[in-house]
Amino acid sequence: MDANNRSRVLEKFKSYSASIPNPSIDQFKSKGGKVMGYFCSFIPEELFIAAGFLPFRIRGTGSLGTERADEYFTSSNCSFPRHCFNQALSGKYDFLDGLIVGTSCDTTRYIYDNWKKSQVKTPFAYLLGFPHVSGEVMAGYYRKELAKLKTALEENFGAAITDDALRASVRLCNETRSLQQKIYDMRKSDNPAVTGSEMVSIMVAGISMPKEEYNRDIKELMSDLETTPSADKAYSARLMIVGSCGDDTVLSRIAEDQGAMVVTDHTCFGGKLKYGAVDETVSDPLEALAHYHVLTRPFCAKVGGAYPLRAKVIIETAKEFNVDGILGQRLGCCDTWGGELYILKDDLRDAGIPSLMIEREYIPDTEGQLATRIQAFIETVRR
Amino acid sequence: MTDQEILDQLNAEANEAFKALTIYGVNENARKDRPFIIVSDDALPEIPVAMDVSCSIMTVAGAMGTAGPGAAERIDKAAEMGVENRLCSSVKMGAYFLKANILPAPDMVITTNSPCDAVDMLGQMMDNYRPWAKVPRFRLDAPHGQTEEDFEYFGGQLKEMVHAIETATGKKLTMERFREVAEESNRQASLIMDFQELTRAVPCPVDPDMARVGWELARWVAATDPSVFPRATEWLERLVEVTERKVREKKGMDGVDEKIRFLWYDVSPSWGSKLFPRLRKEFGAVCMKTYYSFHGYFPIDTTSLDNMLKSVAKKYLMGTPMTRQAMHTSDVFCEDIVHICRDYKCDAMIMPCHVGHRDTNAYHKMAKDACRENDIPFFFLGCDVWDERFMTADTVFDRIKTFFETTGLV
Repeated sequence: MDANNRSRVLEKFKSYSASIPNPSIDQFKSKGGKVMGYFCSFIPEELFIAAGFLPFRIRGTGSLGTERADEYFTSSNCSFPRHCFNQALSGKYDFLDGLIVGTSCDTTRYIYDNWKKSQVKTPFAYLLGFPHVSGEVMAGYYRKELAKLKTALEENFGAAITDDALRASVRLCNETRSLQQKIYDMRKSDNPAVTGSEMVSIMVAGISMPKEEYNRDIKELMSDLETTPSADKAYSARLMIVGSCGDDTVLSRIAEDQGAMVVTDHTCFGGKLKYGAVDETVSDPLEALAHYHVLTRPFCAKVGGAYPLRAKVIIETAKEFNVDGILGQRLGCCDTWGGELYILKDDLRDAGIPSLMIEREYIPDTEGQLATRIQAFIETVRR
Repeated sequence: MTDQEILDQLNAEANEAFKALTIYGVNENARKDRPFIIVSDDALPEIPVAMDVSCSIMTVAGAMGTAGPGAAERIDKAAEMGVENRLCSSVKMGAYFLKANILPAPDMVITTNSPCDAVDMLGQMMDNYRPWAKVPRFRLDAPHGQTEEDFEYFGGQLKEMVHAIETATGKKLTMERFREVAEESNRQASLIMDFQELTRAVPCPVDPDMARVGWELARWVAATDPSVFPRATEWLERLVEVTERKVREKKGMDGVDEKIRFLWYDVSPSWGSKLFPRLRKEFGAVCMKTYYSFHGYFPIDTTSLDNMLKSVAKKYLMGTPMTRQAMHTSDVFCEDIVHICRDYKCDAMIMPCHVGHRDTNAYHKMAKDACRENDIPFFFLGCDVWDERFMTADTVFDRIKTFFETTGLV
């Protein structure tokens, strides 16, 4: 097998992550299945899977502009939601049977209002309250919010979401996290099994197709990676990407084009998704999900009081993966990550981890400038 | 004293009191003989007043700083720190205060996620501010919902916050004192409602912005010094008295030949003194409402401690300017616009769309549609209410002039 094309699965994942529609969605829908779109990683896919839906995480993939969305948002709004919404207005999300938006950042939150009132005809739209503080009381609040969402789904779709079905979906998604973690672990070696760009594809595919199929595929991929030597690619520095979004390969591609290797990340579409596991022993699965997202994995930078945990996980991950430096990325007009990266920079410096904080747009109009900055950073941290 | 002299005196008293809200005031507050707390956003003054602690508000100090000397340089320095470039300038100023290490160490820090991403971010910067590493802190989670459950959830957190303040400062909240303060707060809210009702008169008797002045006095300044609280009530009583008299006498604002009434639905800009008087003078155009001069009535239920905290929570979530507009769905914002325009007989709606307000920038179309459905001329501006360099007051004036001309208002 060609070392650059080691797996059929990897090609499938690349294809799925590079477009919004994919054959697995078509197949699911052709059997009468319903697809539930959602924003943000704290919205538990388990709930949708238990209802028999296919969860699909909204992204801006393939967008070339925001012409349609500009009627609704201004350039003072972050470009990620604008591109996502532009895709919706362009009909790319017409396959959705429902949409769940969480109360995360201000711009994303108002996608809910705009989506509902625009010409996008998604039959069901729901705004899910999510706490912005990590704590027991807040986990209790989120459990109630999830229960309300569950009722709304049951009433609107006639779907019974039983505790047994929820437990089964928790097990399924835990298996996904565990498999993804194993792929990440394979990147700790001096000769990482996959590149950073490939890893983005692997993770994005995971939120774009049925989990059972994904888990089967990822096992096949792991088998391929274990039996087929990787390209033994020489690289000048091991990097980690930290920041918002991350549904595209822009930053990892630029860094890897400059001779570095992105070996791990802490992004909303990447490494944050596979962190730990939802407790399968708790009798109330909704409580287990709420605890996981509010107490175990409060990785949204909007969650106050949890910064020390986020910083600890980032620094420990950087050390585990033996990274030479961290690329912090945020999109323009993102107040949340502007503050998070500002605070993080000092903690990284204290931990002896060099960092470069980058502001970019969803579709960078200055890729050359980004490349120059990243190249200069790599020069300062190269091995 | 003539009515105008009374109004001038009320303004002068308020302006003097507002010094307590500036960065210099924050440092003064820290030197007073009572526990000193710094909060990221609105101080829910009933609680600090009842507990006899002093509360300074970071975002307000930042906003006041944007009108002070050297403001532009400080805003730029904050941008250079690496926080978001198009971040709200009042929050940038707050971030600068932290970076420049010119804030006194408080006895406690209280932060919240409301009303917007920018203030939430500033709160997280305060929570993780190294010079305050040993300062006790408490963080509030303001929900985005508007149900009784949401108010109970937030009220429960306020109870925890009171315990935390008691632990950090040694001050106690007694039911008797809390009820007394809540009743005074209800009286103030009622006076503000009275004033608002009176300003519906045509011609408008008194600058409607005085509702903002009175509200900020009763809440922000009183939070810094509990002795201001009863004085704010007395201030509001005088305001209502003079306004009532002017309505009875069918007198408008001094020197204003009122021809146009408009809604400026955002924060009143720090450079507003270069804009609003000029609009009044040249077009007889009176700004009837801004975020902070529009208030609903959310009385505090004093029947039990839990009911008081729950209703303080509701008052905060539904009645605090900025929180009302930025924390809820766009329906609240759009319905408010329509009601204000109808109730205060506004001829037009100007949407300033402050560059740092991700919320209004995300629902301007819905606001425009709501205005169109109700035959309210709508004008989108896009300015920085804290930094005139983004769009000067002269440019804003010219654009509004063109808008008035094209809609036939002048």
